Amino acid sequence: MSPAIAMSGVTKVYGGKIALDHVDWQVQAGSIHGLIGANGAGKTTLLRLALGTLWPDRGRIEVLGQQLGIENAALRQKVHYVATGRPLPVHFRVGEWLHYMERLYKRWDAERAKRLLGAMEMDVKALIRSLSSGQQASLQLAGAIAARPELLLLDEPTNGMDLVVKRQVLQLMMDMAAAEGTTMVLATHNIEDVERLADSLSILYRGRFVLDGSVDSLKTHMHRLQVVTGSRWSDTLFDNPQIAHVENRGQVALVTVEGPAEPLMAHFRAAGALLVEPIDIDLAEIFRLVLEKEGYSREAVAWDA
Amino acid sequence: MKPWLGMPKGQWMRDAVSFREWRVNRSLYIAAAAVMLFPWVLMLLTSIGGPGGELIELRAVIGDNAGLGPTNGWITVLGGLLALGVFWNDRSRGGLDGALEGPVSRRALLMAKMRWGILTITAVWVLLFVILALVAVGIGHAGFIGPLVIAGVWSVSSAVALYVAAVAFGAAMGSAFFTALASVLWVTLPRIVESVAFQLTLGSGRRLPLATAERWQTTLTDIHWFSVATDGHPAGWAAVLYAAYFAAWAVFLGWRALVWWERTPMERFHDPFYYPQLWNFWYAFLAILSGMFVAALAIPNVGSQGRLDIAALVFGVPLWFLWRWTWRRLSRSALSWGHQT
Repeated sequence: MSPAIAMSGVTKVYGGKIALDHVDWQVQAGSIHGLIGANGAGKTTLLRLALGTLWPDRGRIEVLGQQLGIENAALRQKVHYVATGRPLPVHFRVGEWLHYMERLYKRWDAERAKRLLGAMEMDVKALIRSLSSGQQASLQLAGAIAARPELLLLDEPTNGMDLVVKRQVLQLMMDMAAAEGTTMVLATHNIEDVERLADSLSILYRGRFVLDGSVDSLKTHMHRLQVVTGSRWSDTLFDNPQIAHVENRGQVALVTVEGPAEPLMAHFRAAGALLVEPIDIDLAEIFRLVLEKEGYSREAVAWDA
Repeated sequence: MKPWLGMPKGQWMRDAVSFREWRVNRSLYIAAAAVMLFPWVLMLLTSIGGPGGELIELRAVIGDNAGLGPTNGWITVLGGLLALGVFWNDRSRGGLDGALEGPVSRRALLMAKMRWGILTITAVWVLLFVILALVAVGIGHAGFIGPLVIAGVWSVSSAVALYVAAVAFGAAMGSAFFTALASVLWVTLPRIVESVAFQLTLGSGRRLPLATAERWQTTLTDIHWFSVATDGHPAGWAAVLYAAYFAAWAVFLGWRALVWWERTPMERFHDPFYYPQLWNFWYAFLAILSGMFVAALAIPNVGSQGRLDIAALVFGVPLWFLWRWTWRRLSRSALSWGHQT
């Protein structure tokens, strides 16, 4: 199966500042792909390049098997972009906006749109400007789902939504992906969402990818060990290139390991550890570790994420 | 599809982009049409309701309108303002950037603005000339209808030309100020050329042979009529020729608008000029203005307008470099004109 998005050597520069630097990126068709990055990493630029509204300064982009050029409006019948803060026609009524969308999208499912708005208790007579930011985001997502795209690009789509609506929306997106095989790219700060939804993920840092792969492979690539000892740690114990991070808590240490964990477990046991056991590591921790390795401070990553 | 609650009245409008354009800017199109018609209707009503001598006044109104007058220029300028309005209303309240993220081509979006604007202007003039023609027949002067039609063709083409010019400048600039300035320059340039040419020759007191002076005077008048918003208009078939000239401008600028609009990277949509080279025109404008000012100050007894213009040019060249340097320094430090997408 050909990839839904294939970028090679893509560079984008804004007024002398490099936003993306020779990026190679692929998203498999039918997958849900998480895109994580700190503020200013280039996530939005990457999605807009895939949408064809921004043009790369260098490189080549193919979306749904079609090479992007200057005018990509026809392709956007199949590619939909939803972003927090995306400009909506604020003085339209909800019903008018739906009317416009129905005329615009060839695969528009009016019944589905009606059902979604009903579930969100959205008044079709309401002016869009009178809706809260969360409701506006919900409206955009409802539009995206009713347009039945083949590729859905989501840029912080659940910002401003309350928890109940957010869960509903995420469930709807998963249902759509399962039922129609829609490819989704989810760019977000919310790593929990990516962990729950995504099959694969990429971590973007200062305009280039620092990690790219399936969520499962990333989790099996990194491990966290809880090591308990009765005495003080030797300084040389953690001097191992496989060890990415150590959090020392007295006689207990939490050790994050890159690559297979078994050799290090044996190493700690041989050094006199009373207990060595693997514990769960979440994506947020992987994200922090990767960015830390790139020189981003742990506090900044925690704040950004 | 079954209609359901909240379906807008414009349901008949099947084309999404046309519907969107109408919904975003309908108040501007309607208001512009009303403002264009208002002075004419007022003029007619005043004539009809006047105390005695109504027939003479009506004849005067129809006769004047067959020759048109300053009202024509005002309506043409209103057409230009309408184009500026529809662009900037769309950018600020209409979610133009968001619309372009959907399956809407830039060409379709710009064409919708041109269609609605040209339709508004044409509808106003058609309605106006129907009213004037009916009144002309009513007061027994059906002979006015011919000149009215010619004047109408000239008026519509000049108004459409300015509308399309403003759309074209709007499609190359992300700033309302610079678009308005470019439109004003485009409107006034023939008049400026005429004025300078007049001052350099007839106005400077030079003695030209009578026949040459007459021919030159006619040429200057012709130059004056090249402005779309000029007062009055050439009579008879000359008006039709100028109408063709304005129509050609409209086609050319409309085509350029599409080219500029389609080739502009989205991240430049909020920059004053989409093409950095256009800044040179802005420096030139500032240099001319300041050159005239400096020339007037430096040479108080310059003698003639022609000499003043030449002095302004001499001062203007170094001022162009000065303005360029100053503006770039300002841009680098604190001056921010927009944001990137």
